[in-house]
Amino acid sequence: MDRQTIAQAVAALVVLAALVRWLPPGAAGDLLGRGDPYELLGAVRQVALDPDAPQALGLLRNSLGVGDPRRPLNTAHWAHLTQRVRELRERAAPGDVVQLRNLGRNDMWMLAYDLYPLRTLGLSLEGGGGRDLPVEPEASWVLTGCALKARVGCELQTADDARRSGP
Amino acid sequence: MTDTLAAILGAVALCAALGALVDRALFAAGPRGVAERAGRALLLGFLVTGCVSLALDTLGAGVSRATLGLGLLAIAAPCGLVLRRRRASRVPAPCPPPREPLAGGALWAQRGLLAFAALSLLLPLTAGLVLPPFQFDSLTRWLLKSKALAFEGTLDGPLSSDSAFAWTHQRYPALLPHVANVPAVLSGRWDERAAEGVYPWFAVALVLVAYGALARRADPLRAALGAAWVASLPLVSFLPRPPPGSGAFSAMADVPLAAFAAAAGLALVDALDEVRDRAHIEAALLLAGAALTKNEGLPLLAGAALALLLGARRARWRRAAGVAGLAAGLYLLLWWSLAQRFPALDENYAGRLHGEALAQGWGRLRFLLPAFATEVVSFQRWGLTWLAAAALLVLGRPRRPVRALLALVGLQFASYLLAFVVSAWTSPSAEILAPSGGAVEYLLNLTLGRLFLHLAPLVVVLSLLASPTLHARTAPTGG
Repeated sequence: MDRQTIAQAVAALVVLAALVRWLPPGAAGDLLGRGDPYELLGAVRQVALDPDAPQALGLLRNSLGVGDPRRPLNTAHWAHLTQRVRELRERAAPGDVVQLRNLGRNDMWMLAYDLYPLRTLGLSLEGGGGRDLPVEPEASWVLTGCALKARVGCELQTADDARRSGP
Repeated sequence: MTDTLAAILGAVALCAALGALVDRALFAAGPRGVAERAGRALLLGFLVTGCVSLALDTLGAGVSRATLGLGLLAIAAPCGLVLRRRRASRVPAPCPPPREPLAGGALWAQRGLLAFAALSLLLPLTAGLVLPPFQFDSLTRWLLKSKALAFEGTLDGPLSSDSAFAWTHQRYPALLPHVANVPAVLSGRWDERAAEGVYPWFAVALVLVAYGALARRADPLRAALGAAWVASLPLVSFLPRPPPGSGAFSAMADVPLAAFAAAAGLALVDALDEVRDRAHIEAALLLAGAALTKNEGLPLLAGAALALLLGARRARWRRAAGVAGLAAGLYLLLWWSLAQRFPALDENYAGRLHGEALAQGWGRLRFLLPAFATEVVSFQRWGLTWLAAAALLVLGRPRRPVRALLALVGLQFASYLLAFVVSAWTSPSAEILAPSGGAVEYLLNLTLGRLFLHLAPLVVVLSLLASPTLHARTAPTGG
């Protein structure tokens, strides 16, 4: 076999390998990893039909792939949080400051993006923060997360309510 | 949806028009097909527009419709004058050399491959429009900066420079956030899908540049295979795993970096072959684009210098220093001078390049080297990409420019290996999942596919340049 024939065979194999990835999603286990896009497009369709569909919105904030054991928990967590974010966007005035409590560092970074241009502040769980942190004087709102994701609902309060209710 | 689409297409058209003007004014020489011209226009347009916006921010002028418009005009006007003068001197454009036309099975194979490439690109373009951005890095690194630019007109504003604000990776280069802010500048409102929707166009530019360069330097069938191969790479086409959201459709910087790396590599091949003027300048500009896109673009400057030292026929040191120096100068002026004002919160790899960190991390090679080797042969993640590219390179006996560029690829991989060795990276998830100090293994699993993507299109193109021709036994090899 000459070099050109081998090169042609290699080229054909490259194309075949690329085509395999277009096969419809596999069964459980999904060996070739075709699941995510299909699941996400399903979630988009669901949100198009119902813009408040919490589970679909949670899935669309999920960076964990199909098969990751944390995915369902993270989806439920973001289903809670996206509802609180929507509520905050509707109720907050420009210049309001949102204190984030009882949330992990990564969640705080995501919420900083979601809530911007509202200013967010707070101490992450990794930095020693928690549910009992006092309300900062400059805070207008307090969003308290659920440290054990999705086990306890997230809570949104005005800063005054949060101060009254105490830690 | 209509407004979003209009904002995306308006931004892309503006950048492409400017890019075409700059390309024709600065790098006019050499026969090029429509695809290559379009790809270059897109990529150079994104680069120039982003650089103008970066310069405005660094100079403290702020990014608004008026300032950006004036800035772009300041680039477009002299380019227009150059073109006008050139037209007046009536220098005929060089004609592409005649090609042996494809026929029969080869023609159908070419058409099929191009259709496959087009369909593969259609997926990320559609997904970018339909899916909201959701990937963690997309939101917290890239889109937050675009959002700050849209609201504050600067990355150095009161909120974004507030130390109490949960603002991460401030020193990450900001070319892409500036480019993704163009839809907001044009439409006057922030729309995250419009910002996200600009990113897949880097994949379009990448495929067009790869196709055009192969069509010019190799043959139509290899060009079509290159287009289909690059367009269907995991993370370029919308069939990614893992993690979801990292592909060309989402607001991630890996595909844009791959596009700059491939285009810079192709410009270096032209420079090493001395087939046209100013290929060195073009390579330097594109390398600056890579460095301004992601930190991982910086080692490419050293790789380019190495490739020129190994492959240039004359004035090696001067050319290597010129290309790397121009790219580094642009990076320092446009981004580093502003970035110095921000805290280096995390992932400060350059600061870890010392003996102690090396000695501490040396043992990680135990799992790093097998992980890199496993990635190369992972069918799930790469199909046959790396094995097939290696096979074509071996079969084709690559010429000196291609061999020099392979040294760049090798150096880039070595820099990634070094980064993992010295990294002090950790994250909450890593600490939960790998409490025994395996944070780097966790990071490796998250990022290795993306790091390989930075070089995959360039390696594919180099392998096809080197490969024996696929359709006519009598035709000479291109690479």
